[in-house]
Amino acid sequence: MRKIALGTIVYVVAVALAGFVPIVYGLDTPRRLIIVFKFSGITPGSAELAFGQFQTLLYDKQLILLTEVLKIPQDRLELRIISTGAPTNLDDYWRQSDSLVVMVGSLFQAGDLASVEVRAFLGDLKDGLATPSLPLSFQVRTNEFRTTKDTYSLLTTFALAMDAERLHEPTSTVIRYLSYAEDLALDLVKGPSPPPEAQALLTAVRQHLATLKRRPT
Amino acid sequence: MQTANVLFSAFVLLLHCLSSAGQPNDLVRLLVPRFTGPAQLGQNVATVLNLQVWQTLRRAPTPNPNGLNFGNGEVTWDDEALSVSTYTAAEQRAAITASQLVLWGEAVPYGEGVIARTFLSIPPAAGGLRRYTDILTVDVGAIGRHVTVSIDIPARRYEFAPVVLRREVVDTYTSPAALLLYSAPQGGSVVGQCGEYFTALRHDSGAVLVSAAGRQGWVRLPELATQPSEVVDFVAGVLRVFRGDWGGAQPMFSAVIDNTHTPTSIKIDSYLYLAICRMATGLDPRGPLDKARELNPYSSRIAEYIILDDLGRLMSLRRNGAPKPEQSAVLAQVDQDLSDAQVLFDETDPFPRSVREATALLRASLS
Repeated sequence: MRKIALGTIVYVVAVALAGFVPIVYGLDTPRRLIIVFKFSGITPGSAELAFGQFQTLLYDKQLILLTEVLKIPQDRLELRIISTGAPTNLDDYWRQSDSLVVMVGSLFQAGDLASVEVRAFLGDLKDGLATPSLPLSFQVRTNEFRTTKDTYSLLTTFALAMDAERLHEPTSTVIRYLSYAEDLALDLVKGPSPPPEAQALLTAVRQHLATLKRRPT
Repeated sequence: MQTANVLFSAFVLLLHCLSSAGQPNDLVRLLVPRFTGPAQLGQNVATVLNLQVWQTLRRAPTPNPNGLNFGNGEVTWDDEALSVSTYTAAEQRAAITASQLVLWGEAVPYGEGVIARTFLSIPPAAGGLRRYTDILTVDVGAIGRHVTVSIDIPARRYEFAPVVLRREVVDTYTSPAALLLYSAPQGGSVVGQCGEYFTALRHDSGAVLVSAAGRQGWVRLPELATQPSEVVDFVAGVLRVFRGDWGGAQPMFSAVIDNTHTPTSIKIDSYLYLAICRMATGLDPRGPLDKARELNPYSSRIAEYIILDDLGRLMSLRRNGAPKPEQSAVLAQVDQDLSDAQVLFDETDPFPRSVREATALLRASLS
């Protein structure tokens, strides 16, 4: 039997009380979008090239591969790059869009070396994390590629799992996503340059898994 | 010298030839399509990986006191890269070329250098793989009824750790004439170019003797990456399992596990493949299964392997006429394992259902 999401009830009550249909996404439908606001600091030339590599490899391709490995429909996740400036209130933006994760960032170019500082905003999907906004910083260098890619996949998979939990998808599905996320988090934590947020994500993933495993079937 | 008993050839065949070729039941074929990448770099990276895996093929162990024969193995390559870099595209190419495994990837500029990303697809294949499927099935027969419990190989889609290509590799192997033929594995002189069409004949000391354009010569295989990669060891191990070379597969998977750069997911599956090798040779697989579960206690696939092992042990006790209390103890363990893992399985998963049917039969026969 399909359960009714709490969000649906809130939505219906809001409609009844306010007498209009509020524009709120993702109440009981999947949040699909990975929204990336084009990083600030991108000037024509090598910085643009660096962002292009970052976007193609980490966002575009990795998202497709992730859907294939997790065996979910390709339209379950969609990348949207937005060229306008990032919103000042990410929380409002996240709520009013169909987004799973919103990313804003800056790219810094010093000679041939590019580095990025990204804020990944998970909104209400932050379950188990201290804050919905995770600061990440990477250098666009070959030996940081794996860490950057795995961090991105980990964030996306964690948010996907939390969204699946919100939508009351089967516990086995949520565990499958989190189990995949745990492998990634473990690699990051044990890796040569673990991003500061990796340990917090690993802890959150493990707490969720332990809770779900105890859930009666 | 590692050339004895190595009678395999790496074929370079056009797609239409491959698709029309018949596939003997015991033939296991790995396809390595050209990697996407700048200029000839993708082609040459794929060729080097192809030959590195090919070096690990063997028809029989040396020495071979038991007269083993692992049948035919092939590493083939395709000079056409995948149309898109996805598992789906790789699996479609596998179907066209009658390949059981596809090692595919791309060499992509990133930052100050070039990264090689490598993937393995093992689509469900028709025929030719009975050697492992027999190991992963337990037939439970009792009180005149029969239930089959089966599991699959650990996974069918892999992403290996990306590797940073060495600067010399990028500089040298972007040129189509980079893979040179030498008159000897080491030293000697250049006698030609490997080119796109060649047949590998034998290998020695990190070089492969090939026949290309009517000329024979040695291709020297460079270290592609700045750090050791698990790709060749893992793919070689899977190929050996598919060919029933249990003894030969184990050192490959041990090397993958010992490699500190190996991703956790691939380490886990290496433990599962080690368990398969031990099951196949009548050894207790619990050691590697426990290691896999330590790494990830929430994997339904690991739970399946543990439950299947328990069921296999129970059937072995029955065949040997073990006392009923001993059988009941193992049956209770199966029940407990299934109960612990129940939450990991989808409602539609046939595995837990088949285990419940099997245990019901066994319980009835023991009462």
